[in-house]
Amino acid sequence: MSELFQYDFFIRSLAGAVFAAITCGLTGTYIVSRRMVFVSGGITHASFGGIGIGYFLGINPVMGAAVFGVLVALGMERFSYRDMVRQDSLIAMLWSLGMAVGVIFIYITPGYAPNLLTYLFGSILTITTTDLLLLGGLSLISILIFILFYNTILMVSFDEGFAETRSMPVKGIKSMMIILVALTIVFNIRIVGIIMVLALLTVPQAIANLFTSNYKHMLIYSVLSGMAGTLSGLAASWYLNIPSGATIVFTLVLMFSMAKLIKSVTG
Amino acid sequence: MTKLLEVNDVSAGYHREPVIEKACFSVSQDDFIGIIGPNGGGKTTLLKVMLGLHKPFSGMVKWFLEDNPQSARQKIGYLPQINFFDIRFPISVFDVVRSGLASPDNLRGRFSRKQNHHVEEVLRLLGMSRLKNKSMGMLSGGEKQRVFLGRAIVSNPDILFLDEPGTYVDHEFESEMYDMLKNLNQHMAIVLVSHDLGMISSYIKSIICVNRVVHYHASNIISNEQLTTYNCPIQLITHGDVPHTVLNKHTQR
Repeated sequence: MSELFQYDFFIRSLAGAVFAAITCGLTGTYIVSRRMVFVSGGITHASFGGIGIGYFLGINPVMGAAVFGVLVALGMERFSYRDMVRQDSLIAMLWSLGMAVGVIFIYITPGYAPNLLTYLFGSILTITTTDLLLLGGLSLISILIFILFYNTILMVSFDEGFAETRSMPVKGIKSMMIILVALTIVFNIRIVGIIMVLALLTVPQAIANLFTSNYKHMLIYSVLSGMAGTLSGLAASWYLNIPSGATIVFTLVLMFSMAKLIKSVTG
Repeated sequence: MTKLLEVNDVSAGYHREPVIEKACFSVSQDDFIGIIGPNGGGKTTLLKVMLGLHKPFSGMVKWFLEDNPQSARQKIGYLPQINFFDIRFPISVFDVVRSGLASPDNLRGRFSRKQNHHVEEVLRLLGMSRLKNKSMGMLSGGEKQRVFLGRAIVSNPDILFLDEPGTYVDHEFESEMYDMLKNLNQHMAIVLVSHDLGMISSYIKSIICVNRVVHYHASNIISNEQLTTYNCPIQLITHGDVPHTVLNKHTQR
């Protein structure tokens, strides 16, 4: 094991795994408790449009995805206030539209799109310093947001109608959180890819939820079980020489199944 | 008697379809108003318009508590209909009651020792101290309703709005709750939405009938005939004398 740490890329992957667990553990708890998994799936896939536009314009595709993802997320949040379209139909529309935009822009970009598969399936071993800085910065921001506004986030998530009667800035809090959701998704695409990032946002929470139904504990347990999953998945992918993103997701679901089994045996 | 709130010729609804029309009444300090009417008649919409949660098509709701509507809202308590909640949401009883003290000046949610103590007191009043760290999802319907009542009254509001507080509550707690409300009415106005008139008729002081058109009656005397005209579900289970006086006919349509 010690020779592994001599490799710069391995240290970076470890840092990436830890940051992924922190960002997804915290924001995923918000997503799961508010039952926004489908919205998050929509943002995830729609952000592929941003990746395509990023390729076309010759800028960092992650940046393209971040801008596109945030706009789509705010759009979904805004439209859910009005009843013009069914919200789930709207999400499905944006979900596919984003993918379509991505495919078109990648097609019309001259030459071969390098690392395209990285965005679909993730590649934590080739994570760049920029990716790490973004993910590290987002970890810090997420921790700060949850520490500073814990009680407000909790009450707005639980009952926004009541929060409004207390004159709380419900729209402001929800907008801040949906931007956090979008950035968390986009920056974690590097880790496990568009196809599988939803697992990082929901499986650690499902594990945590087996042992607690306290919001604060759920935040902490989700980060911890996320870390256990990403780190052991990373190790397994290294030793077995199989793709890291898929192994991390597989490990997380395996951990959930074992936790569920233990829970049902011990009661 | 100090006027707290005035509803002036309010019409409101959804998708340009009016649900309530021409609501005209006011709420004063000692009021205990029952809002009655059939399902879908607009009771909850009327309540939401009063709370500022739903914008009326026309007319206005005027608050006399404070000049600024935002600070006025800090002086109201609200118990919404229970079926709007996600019962699996991971939140403790204590946190739910304390959220009744939330204010935009305290976005960080730092509550003083005095505030926390007050939350404990309200929990004790409702007999919920034992369950304060329990998650909401683990409670029975009646226990949940106690918690929401606690959240509504923890801020010592000037007006307390309750939307069907009798739902999911056993009869024993229901009458206990109405006795509690009667006590609270000594220092706050109460506006109560209910379809179960039998239970509330001996507590309320005045009635608002809502079935699209809104009528205010400055007394709590109701009759079967009157109810029939409104198509209200009648479940009058009364103890002692059944009130039989017919109110004057509505002059407007």
